[in-house]
Amino acid sequence: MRSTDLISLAPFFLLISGGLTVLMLGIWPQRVSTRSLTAVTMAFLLLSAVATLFWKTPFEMSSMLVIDDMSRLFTLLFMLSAAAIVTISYRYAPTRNEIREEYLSLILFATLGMTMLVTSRNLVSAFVGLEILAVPLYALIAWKREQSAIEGGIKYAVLAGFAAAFFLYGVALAYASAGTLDLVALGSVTTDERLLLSVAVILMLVGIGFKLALVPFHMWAPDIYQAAPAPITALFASIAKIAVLMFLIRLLCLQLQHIWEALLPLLWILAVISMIAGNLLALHQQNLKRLLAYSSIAHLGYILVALAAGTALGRDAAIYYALTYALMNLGVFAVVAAFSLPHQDRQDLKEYRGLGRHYPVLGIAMGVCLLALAGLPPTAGFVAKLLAFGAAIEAGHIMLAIIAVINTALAFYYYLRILVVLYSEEKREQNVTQPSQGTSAIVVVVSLLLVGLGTFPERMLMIIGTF
Amino acid sequence: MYWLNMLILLPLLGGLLIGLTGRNRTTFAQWAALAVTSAELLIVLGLWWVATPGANGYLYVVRVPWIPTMGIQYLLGMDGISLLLVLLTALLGPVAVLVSWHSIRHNWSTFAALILATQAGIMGVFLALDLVLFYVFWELMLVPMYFLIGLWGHERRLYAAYKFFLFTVTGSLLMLVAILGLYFVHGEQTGIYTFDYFELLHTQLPESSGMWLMLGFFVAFAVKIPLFPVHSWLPDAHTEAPTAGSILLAGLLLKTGTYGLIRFCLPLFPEASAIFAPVGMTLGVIGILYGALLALVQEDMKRLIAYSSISHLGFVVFGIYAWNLQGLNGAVLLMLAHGVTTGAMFALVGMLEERSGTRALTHLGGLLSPLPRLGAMLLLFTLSAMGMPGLANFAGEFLIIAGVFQISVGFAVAGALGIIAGVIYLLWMYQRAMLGEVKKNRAWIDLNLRETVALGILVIAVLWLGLYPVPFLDNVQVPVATLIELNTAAMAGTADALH
Repeated sequence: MRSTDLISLAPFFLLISGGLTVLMLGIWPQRVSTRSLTAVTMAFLLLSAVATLFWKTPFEMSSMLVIDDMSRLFTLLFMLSAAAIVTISYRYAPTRNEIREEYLSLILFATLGMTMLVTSRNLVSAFVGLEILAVPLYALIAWKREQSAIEGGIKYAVLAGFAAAFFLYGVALAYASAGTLDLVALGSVTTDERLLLSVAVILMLVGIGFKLALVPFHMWAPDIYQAAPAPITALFASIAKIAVLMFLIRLLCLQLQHIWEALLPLLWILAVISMIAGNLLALHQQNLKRLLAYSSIAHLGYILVALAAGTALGRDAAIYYALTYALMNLGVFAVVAAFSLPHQDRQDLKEYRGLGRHYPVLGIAMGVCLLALAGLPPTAGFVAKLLAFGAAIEAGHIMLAIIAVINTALAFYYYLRILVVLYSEEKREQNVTQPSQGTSAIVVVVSLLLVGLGTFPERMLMIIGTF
Repeated sequence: MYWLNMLILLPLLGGLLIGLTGRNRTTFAQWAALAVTSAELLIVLGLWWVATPGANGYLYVVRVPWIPTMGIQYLLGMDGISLLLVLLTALLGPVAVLVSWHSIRHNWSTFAALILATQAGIMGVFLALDLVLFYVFWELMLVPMYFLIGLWGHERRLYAAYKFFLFTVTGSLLMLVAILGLYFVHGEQTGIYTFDYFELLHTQLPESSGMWLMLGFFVAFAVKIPLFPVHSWLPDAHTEAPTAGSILLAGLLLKTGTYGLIRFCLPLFPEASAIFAPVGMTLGVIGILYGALLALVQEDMKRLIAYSSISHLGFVVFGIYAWNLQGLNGAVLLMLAHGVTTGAMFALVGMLEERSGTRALTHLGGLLSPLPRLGAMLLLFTLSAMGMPGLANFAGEFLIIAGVFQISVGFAVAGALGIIAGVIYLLWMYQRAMLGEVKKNRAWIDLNLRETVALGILVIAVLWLGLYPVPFLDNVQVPVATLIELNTAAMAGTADALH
């Protein structure tokens, strides 16, 4: 093993050893306080984030992993967001006293899974990453000892099992078609093997579609968004989805471009039905977490609008959108977590009445995130939509662009509804928990990033352009 | 010219500062907002004073790269038309602050921040010459206005706010598609991918796509103006908005639509617009008559003025699509006159409502004797709104009719009928509110100093526009001449194609 290999693998080692260390602290003779457990977890996450900075790119690890600028950018995003989620969980009232070594090590392992997904250049390592990500999530979703939470966890497990089965079947067919699982090798197959490979990719797409909650594989999303504790919802609604999406982008846009071109009509249809169904279902939803679940279905639709263009601009737009999407959802769910009641999250929109006036920082941050989700300038959400719609128009998909903008207009209705509730006349509020400073700091940083990426997107666009 | 940046940044930063520091300090917020809007007005007056037109009619241009990978710039430019509309925007700022002084009872600092943010957005719309930047400001003025209506409005405020936002946002998103379409068409032709207005002016568009792109822009502007089939947000929004919101909506937001037609629809797509002009004029005339007829039957004063706005803006569209010297000059003048007059009318109705607690004409009456100053002011602006010679609206309406007459006598007659209807509903409104028996006896208080100052600013503007509009018309000469050249070229092109 050479030194470059070691440097490249350092974040992986750190995450694994971090997960194990935190678990081991559980059998320490004295009881270790939650505070120090959290501190250890944060230390490992931040160390591995720093370790990615030493990566020499581009570098390939024995045809299993690929270390390039794209994987570095997103690995950093995952590590820092995971650190943010650990911070949010620390003062999250409904799971107080239940954030122990298991919870924290599961978050570390989930982060490891995401990192593997985004760096994999082989279908096997991708599958391993997908599973390392999925298994901790089952447990984390069912963390609260409640009927609905456990139901949610089992639902997610069953559906993820289906997804894995489809994905594996696709992997098997890919192997049958080309005799290799290496993405680069698959990218150079001859024409007569492409039909089987296309079928394989479609099957993988079904598996990925389950994870991304694309219509028609979206049924699980609202239930599980609602059942999971808000910090965990933040985890799988933002970065976990983006990890899977980035694998899809690497698979289609960077390696198997010929298959990508063949699948454009399919992506077109998936984009349209995801946008329309997501937005229509969100329109009259009264439960905030369910509403956000539907809205994120619609957002994946917009990302597919960009991918359906089949051009370099489309790929860049999808990557930029993915980044923005992760930030927006992280911010929104961080605020939801901060507003939680002592024993559970606020569910109904009515329960959020007037909170924006009562807590100006959280209110403004929520406003920024929601306006970014709606796609209003000068937030990153606008630039993302501009790029995505631009890609569609450049590719000549005028109809798709028009459907997308009408959907965007529709979506304004429910985002504004949330904002109006937040800022309407407050009623006297009992049992308010004071939001923690850590969470406030995170939402402020996320809002600043969203506005910053919206006003000065140039640098990020340059970075994405080099992928 | 960094003064152009100041025009946008001053209200934006001022608003931010007031919003952040003014919590629970109403007096401070009020005076700070007044100071910022007054400073803004002084800057604009200064710019007007020292303005020297460049070669292409632009007085000031600011050009900074913003997102070079996509060809997006921070490009601001001010020509004569923008200058006049910026002047109107700056003029209505202090008025909006002054009329809200006591009528806004909660969260004054947030209210002031939103007013200033709206003003900044509108300034940006009138100045931006990069299409993406234009779109950014176009959306930026919507959000604060939405909250102004939704949080400080009257009974049905939420419904009105949603309706306003969804109508406009749908239109503007379609414009975004058209902007992107134009960008790629231009890029494919020339290899230069840019949103720069000056570059895009020279795009050679195939006929069908030119028409579609023009329609994309037109829909956004038609919603804002508002033209006949997409106007239904306006009466609700105007009626439910707080007084300052109504002033900004009627005085400025509607003008962004007609400004968009003049700035973007006609010059970017001259051929398509020339073909479209008869449709545009028809929509204008429908707006004139439809707005006037509905205004005749309104009981709510705010609603009546809202419908009269539809009618007046119909005139502006009428003049724009007549596309000749008189028509365009008249359109610009009427935009200013309508902004001032309607702004004042909404302010007066707001003051009346503060005193009587109602806007319903059936509950008002005989108020001229207890409120002589308010009554006199209302009379002045009512006369101006119905096109009395010597007051603001007359010159604009006259020029528009003269311009349209050259195109089609029938249209001109229909437009004149709209003016007659305007006389009827406005005089009737005045009679029912101010003359006759006093319906309610209470301690009436006439206009105080603050209200007189606010209205006084507008009185000066109305008289100036009515008696001596030449300084304003001087400013629009160059831009209007450029537009007419385009029309001549487009007509010649169409004629060539036919032969």
